[in-house]
Amino acid sequence: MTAFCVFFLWAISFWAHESLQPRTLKLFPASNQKKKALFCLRIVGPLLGLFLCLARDVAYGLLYWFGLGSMAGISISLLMVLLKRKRGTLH
Amino acid sequence: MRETFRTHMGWLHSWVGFLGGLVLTAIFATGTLAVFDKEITQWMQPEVVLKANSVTATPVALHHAAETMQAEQQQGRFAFITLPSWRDPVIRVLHYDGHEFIGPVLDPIDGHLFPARQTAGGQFFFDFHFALRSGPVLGCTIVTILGICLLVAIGSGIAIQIKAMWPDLIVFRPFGARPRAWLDAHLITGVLFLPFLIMITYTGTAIRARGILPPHPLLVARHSEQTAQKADDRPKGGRKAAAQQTDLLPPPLAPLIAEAKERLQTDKCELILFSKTEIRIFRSDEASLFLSRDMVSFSRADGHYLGTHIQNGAAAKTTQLIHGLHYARFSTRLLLWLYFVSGFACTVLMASGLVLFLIKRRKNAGNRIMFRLAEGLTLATFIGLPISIMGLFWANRLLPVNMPERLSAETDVFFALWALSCLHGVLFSILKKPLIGWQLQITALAIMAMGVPALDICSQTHSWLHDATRYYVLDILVFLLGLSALFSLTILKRRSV
Repeated sequence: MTAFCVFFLWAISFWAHESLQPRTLKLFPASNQKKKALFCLRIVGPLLGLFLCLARDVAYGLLYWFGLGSMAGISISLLMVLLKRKRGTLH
Repeated sequence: MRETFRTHMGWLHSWVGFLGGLVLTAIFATGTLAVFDKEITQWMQPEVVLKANSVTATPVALHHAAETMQAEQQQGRFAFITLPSWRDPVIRVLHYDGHEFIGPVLDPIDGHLFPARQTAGGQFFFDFHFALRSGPVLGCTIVTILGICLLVAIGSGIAIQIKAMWPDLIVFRPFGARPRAWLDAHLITGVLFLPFLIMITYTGTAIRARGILPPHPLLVARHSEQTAQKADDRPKGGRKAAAQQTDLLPPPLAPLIAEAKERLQTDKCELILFSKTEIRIFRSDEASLFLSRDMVSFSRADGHYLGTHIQNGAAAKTTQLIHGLHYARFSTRLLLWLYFVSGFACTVLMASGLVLFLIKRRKNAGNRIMFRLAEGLTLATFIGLPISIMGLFWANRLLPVNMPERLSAETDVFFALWALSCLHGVLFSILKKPLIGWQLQITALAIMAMGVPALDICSQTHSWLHDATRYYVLDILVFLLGLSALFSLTILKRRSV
């Protein structure tokens, strides 16, 4: 359960990060308020994930945190490929 | 100034990355498989029946294991016992054959010997990963030097990409133009798995660094002292003397294991070594992130307690952490899978780097013989290695169970297929038909990978109802590899039209 939560937190952080990039904002415009929320998510997500990992297991926590982060990054990247392709904007 | 620096770093990254990458890709691929070395060995020995609940050996089984160990030692082998663990719930009596740890497998309940086929199993990948199957001196030295090359390539890669790293953190454009898609694949795996890549490369290099560093006088003195002690421990006078010295059966092991657990304050012990005079029981590698060699010694003659060896110093703990991080003998499946996926991603990183190197130089140097050779070797690394791994699995199921020298025959198939793939790749590249070469080898990979599960079913070597998870997982993974090869083939054919 902790692993799933950490993965989810990383995933929304990567999502927020990609959503804040100018190339993505052109496709999926966001209001200033939404941008601020995304900015907060981008910072809070990994920190909360790290806290959860270390609270669960100090010795292995960092390994879980980095590993799940990489997995979440790849997953969101592939999801973005699908979404952008659906919009017909990806070459 | 900055651009000049980036240009220099780019040159360094390309050449060190490509020349080292040809072998490093194979090292990473086999290292990734070695994460599940025990599970692969179990797949390759279907005669061994696993009982998930039997992670404790009974006194009867331990007695049989001691007898088997003694018989092995009487044949002049330095045999030792590994106790059942949650990943490998059987007793193994192993010895080192110069490449792998192999030996008889016993049931942890009644101690009967499983009629297991002779195979290198997952140990083959482990041996290839850390020594390229060239022995602990030459092989390890090459791998360590390549590890340093990889650290250089990582450093220069970061220097090139540092500006775009943050905004392009998860950018992937697989449907983009060819160099763009490969570059994205290279960057996304490189950036997202950078912590793992640095950690695994650094720890892997540090473990064997002593092999390439000039010896310190203190180390030399200590090494010769240890060698003398080991020589004293080993039976003198060859096999005959060894047989005489190991005539006595060791005392019952169950009470000794219980005492060792108590003294080491652990609930798991995994390894039992037998010297001429001592029995050494080691803490399990799964017990902690720190891979220690903490142990308790007993007399081999009557089993009385001799001493406890626990290393707690800062330097020892650092070494244990470095070993623990690299060897990944964790007790959690999730972490093992994270290592596996990360290792796979790093393999993709290196393989895509090789392809990028060729794409960038094809226009200017495509007709040169060295380019053709490089292309053939890349094909052999990228596609030939998976083909030869599939060949190893095929050989495991197809070769007769009782065939003499079966282990060497299996590994011969692996290397023969790899050599064949290399020849084929270089030949098609020299004939200026590299695309056909890629297509043929990817077709072969798809057929061989998708054929493994079919072969596993047809060979009827095991039951599919009990204790079959190990078969399902490997068969499914291999089948997925075959499917992805088929998908790549479709794309390649579409582009060639």
